[in-house]
Amino acid sequence: MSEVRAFLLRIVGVFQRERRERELNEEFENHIALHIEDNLRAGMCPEEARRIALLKFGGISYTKEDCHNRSGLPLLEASFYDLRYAIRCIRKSPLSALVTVATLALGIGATTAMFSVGYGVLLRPLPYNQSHRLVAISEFDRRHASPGSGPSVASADFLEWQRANTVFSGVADYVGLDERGKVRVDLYQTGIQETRILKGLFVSNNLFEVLGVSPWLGSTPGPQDNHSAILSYDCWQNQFGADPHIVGQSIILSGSRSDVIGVMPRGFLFPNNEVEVFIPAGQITPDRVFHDVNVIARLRPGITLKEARNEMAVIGARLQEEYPETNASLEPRVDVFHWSLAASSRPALLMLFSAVGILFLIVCSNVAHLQLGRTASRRQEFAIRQSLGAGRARLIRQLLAESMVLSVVAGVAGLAMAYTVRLLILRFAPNAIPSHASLKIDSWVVVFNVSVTLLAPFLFGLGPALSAARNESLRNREFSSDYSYRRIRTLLVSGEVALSVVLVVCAGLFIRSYLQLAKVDLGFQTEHTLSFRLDLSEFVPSEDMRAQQFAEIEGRLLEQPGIDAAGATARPILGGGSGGEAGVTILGQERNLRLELVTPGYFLAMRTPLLQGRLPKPSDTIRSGLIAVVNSAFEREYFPNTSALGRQIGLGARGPATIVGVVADLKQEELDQPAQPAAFIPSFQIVPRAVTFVVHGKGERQTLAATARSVVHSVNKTVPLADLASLEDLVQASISAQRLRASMLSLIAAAALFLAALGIYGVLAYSVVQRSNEIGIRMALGAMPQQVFFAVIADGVCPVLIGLVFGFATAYGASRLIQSLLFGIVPADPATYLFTAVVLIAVSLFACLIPASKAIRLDPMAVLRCQ
Amino acid sequence: MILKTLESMGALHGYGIARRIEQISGDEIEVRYGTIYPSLIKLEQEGFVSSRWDTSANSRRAKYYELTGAGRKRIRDEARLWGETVSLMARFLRAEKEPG
Repeated sequence: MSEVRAFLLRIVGVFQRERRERELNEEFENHIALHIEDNLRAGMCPEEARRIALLKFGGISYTKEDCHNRSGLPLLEASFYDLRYAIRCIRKSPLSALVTVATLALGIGATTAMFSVGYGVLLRPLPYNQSHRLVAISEFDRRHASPGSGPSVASADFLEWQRANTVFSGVADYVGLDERGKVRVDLYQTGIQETRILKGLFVSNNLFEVLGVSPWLGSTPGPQDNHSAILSYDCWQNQFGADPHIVGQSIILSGSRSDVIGVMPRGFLFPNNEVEVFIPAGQITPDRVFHDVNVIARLRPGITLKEARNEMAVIGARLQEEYPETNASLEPRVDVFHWSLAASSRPALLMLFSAVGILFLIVCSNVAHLQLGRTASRRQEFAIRQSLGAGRARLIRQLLAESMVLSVVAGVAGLAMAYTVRLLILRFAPNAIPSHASLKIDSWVVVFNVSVTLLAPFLFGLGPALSAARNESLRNREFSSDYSYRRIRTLLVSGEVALSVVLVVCAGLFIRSYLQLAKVDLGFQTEHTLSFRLDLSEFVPSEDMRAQQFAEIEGRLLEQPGIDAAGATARPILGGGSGGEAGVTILGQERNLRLELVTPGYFLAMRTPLLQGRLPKPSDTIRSGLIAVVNSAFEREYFPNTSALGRQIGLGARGPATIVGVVADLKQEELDQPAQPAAFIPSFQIVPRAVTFVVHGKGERQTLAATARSVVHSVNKTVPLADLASLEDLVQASISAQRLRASMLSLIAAAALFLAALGIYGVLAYSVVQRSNEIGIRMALGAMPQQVFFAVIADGVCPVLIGLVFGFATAYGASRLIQSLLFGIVPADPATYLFTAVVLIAVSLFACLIPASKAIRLDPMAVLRCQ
Repeated sequence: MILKTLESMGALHGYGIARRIEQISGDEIEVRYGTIYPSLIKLEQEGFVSSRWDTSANSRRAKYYELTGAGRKRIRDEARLWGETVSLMARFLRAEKEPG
């Protein structure tokens, strides 16, 4: 206790040095005076009395120093001096300090911003109780190469897991996500003025217990509850006007009456922020065919992930034996829930984080250049200080203090930059952040920022400090270590160039694959289009009526002025994922084929080229014979040498469909996947529940949308138009991730290039100044300006070439790691490498130009006179 | 020693303490008087002594040091500890003298 008190008082003491000095002086004077008086009383002469008193006391200044050391904290005080001196030094050369701080702020800001994104997506705990104890259980089919990220579990297996396991305190399921983890369930709220679409998720009644979150208003569903709904906070705020009496009210959702039993707390989201209504599903019907369920479970206290995996493997093996026809190739997978949510964004995030890390290294190396330059010009000062007795450690500490001051200023600026980046992302690219994550500058981000800020001085400042503090005598200061300085700098430049090459190559690869993706042959045109989704299943239960209404809408759309084509397909356009496959018979063999239901006008509206035969006609109805149109991938696959026209596809109980036409491949699923063989059946022959209409027409999109809406409502007053967008929007949205990746990496690479150029320039400019004597003498001896010019250029280009070689080797290795993120090009894409080489050499030549032209303008006489 | 001195003499200035220690030790310890000042600062920081400026008998302003409650307790603790150490050592020394 007393030690703590003493320590605190010493800290206070640091700031009371002057007062202490005064008091000590007075106390010591008094002490000596008392002693002299005593001595006089003992009979000494005054001189003797004074001499003895001083002798007895010991060294006054020595004692005083001791007292000072004991009263304050000498190390802390010395650090204060260092800091004060550092700030003075920095203020003496504000320009170089400004460049240093700006460069560093760029590096620290970029890493902090990237960390805030990475932390938000991968690490920040989800808003559930002890969220790290939650696991996702998926079903992995050994027949497929890679496990998908969409729902994968059959409900019967889920029920079996729930019953048989001993490792989970709760197992819950939820239904309603598509292959990409997006919410696919649209609930139509009727019984209000205008039908509203709410995004819904069907969940098992114990989900909220498993998550450990209770509703903010109301309560969780009972075990058998199946006529209730729980609203998300945002939905309650935006759609229900934050009605405080909402709990207990009935709403009509997709035709059935549901009682609102609760509102979830603010900030709650599951499994992402799209879900507006949670529908407790009550009893679950076991099914082994459809794998459309997601499963989440909470580990029992004390159970590890490994134990859970082992037990689930045992249960999976038992199910394989019990249900060989459906489960033979299935095995359960257990992953941390957060991990499984973030799985799809992890590779790109890690790639970007590495890129930012490389940028940070370049920044540090550049700042190290600047520091080297500063210490080089202050070599005389250090030599004098050393000869006056400053130790090596003392000098290093002093220089590190300077670096620290610069770094702290840059760290604050970097934090501000991270904050700005956050605002920019939220403003311009909110979809870049996965919907389960939140982007915040919280205490962990600040901790990261501070750590980087404190670490940076050691990265960029220690080297220069060490080399400056090398023992040098004043005598040979003019010639000393010139060579070693240049060697360090050349090394730094080579390193910078190598790192920039890696970034530029990767950015080039991403730009190339984005361009490849953007010019993929879609098989349809995106200009002057509008698409929207109509789900008639809730409003028109009869198949015949639905077919009739779809036909009527299509017909009336075509009558509108300004609309020249309209059609519909049952599947969402660019909705992602596979699925929609059905077992068919082709040439007497059982096949899995993608079947799509389309209206006659569909291919016209999409502007898809017809290659052979004819398109579906309005006259192809339920009563006429079944027909099909296939894509050219189908023809290539099944009829490589002959025409598919006139052949038949067996559609099971519905009988055979005759192929009447072949169309070009439509990229309807995802742009980066090759087109799969597909057959299109007129939707008047097999009637879908919902369709996506595509309208092709001139004029503004708003007018097109208004026309479409009035046409739809003239046929059916209640059905709302969902997902209104142009095909262009859909295409852009489907490649937005790649675009973002490419543009982010390009930005980072551009910054790296700029810094590398600055580095090359700095080194060369400095070396020209250093070698001005030599150049002057050479010119005086008759060297031609061109010779000098090229000598300087060669000096600058040499480290660049070394860096290029190392950079290419590293980039080649790195590009293999990001192969999975590329599209349409190989990692060793020659065009990218060539481009990188050209850009880097051009940039470095440009950087060499100014110092080189300065060198040839040197006046030999002026230089020699200086000697 | 400083604490003990203050205990027996009451409030005292630095010079007085130094002289007193020298007297008690019977001039066996040759102290440089200055060295007691850092010790006094340490004791004051730890809360065992307190100090104040006052006027001395011969009307000279001086800094007086005085024992605090914590200081008194410290002396008792130290004395006890010392006593224990001494008696322990004494027992060991005795035991060595008794062979077998």
